[in-house]
Amino acid sequence: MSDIEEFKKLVERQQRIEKESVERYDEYSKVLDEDMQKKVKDIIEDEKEHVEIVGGMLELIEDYEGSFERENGQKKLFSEEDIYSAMILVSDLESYMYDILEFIEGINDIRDIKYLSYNKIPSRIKQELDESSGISREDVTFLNCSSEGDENIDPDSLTDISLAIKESFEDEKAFVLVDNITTFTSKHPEESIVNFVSSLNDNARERDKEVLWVAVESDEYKELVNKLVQLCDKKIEL
Amino acid sequence: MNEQENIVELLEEGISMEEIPTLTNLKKMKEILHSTSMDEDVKRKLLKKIRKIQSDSIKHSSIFNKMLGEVEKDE
Repeated sequence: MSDIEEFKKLVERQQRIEKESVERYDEYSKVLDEDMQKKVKDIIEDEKEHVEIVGGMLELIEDYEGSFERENGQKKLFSEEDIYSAMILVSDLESYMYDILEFIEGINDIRDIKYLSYNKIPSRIKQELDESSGISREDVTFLNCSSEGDENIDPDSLTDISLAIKESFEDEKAFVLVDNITTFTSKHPEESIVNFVSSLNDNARERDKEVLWVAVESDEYKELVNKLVQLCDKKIEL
Repeated sequence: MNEQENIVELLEEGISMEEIPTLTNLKKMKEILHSTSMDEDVKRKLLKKIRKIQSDSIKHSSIFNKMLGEVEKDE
């Protein structure tokens, strides 16, 4: 596939995502209260505008006859020397999921990923793994704190989450990825989060196991993220 | 599933839609454009459109997160 074809496929996928968002969010109005319905209606209007914007992108690409060549970037692969017991990946909201997928692709050959999802539904993450990464959903085990499905970990209980992570450490090649620690602030005070991370990092070090905390940086959580970075052995740069 | 649980699941799906396929796909497009030899004028137009959708999607994710927080506070 040429570079421009690959780019066009991503734009076409974006169009499908935007159309699906309109259809799904339309369904929400049936169960939400009036105030929330209004907010969702505004979002739907944005999504409809996005469908038009992406249509314009497709026209630009179809009319384009110039060169479109890309320098081949090498994907980062992780070796044993790159892996520490307590690691943190700090990113922004725009990029963090992309970075997580890059990280999983880089480590998947040498570790079994245990993916803890705090407030996102695993079915969407699995779909993303299948559609846009080089690995399969079968390669990743989910620890689910969202409301999707039946076997959920209670997001209100840091003790339950801690137990689930420690249980995952039983697997010899387990690598626990926590997506993402900054969303824990919706239910837990920062001090509890810091103690929780510190305790699990100590447990991972004692047992020679590994955990990656994903943190989304923003002005609001800058201080928390700085504290968490101090508690880890390595900050990942992708 | 009761009504409250249904709303929580829908809002989590909204957050997931915005943060997983939408923002990841946009980031991939941006990465390709940044490393390509494409005509600068066309590249600029495409990047402007991508940034507009990115900025809206970040706003949408924040709205869904706030609504989820409100619903869970009422539980």
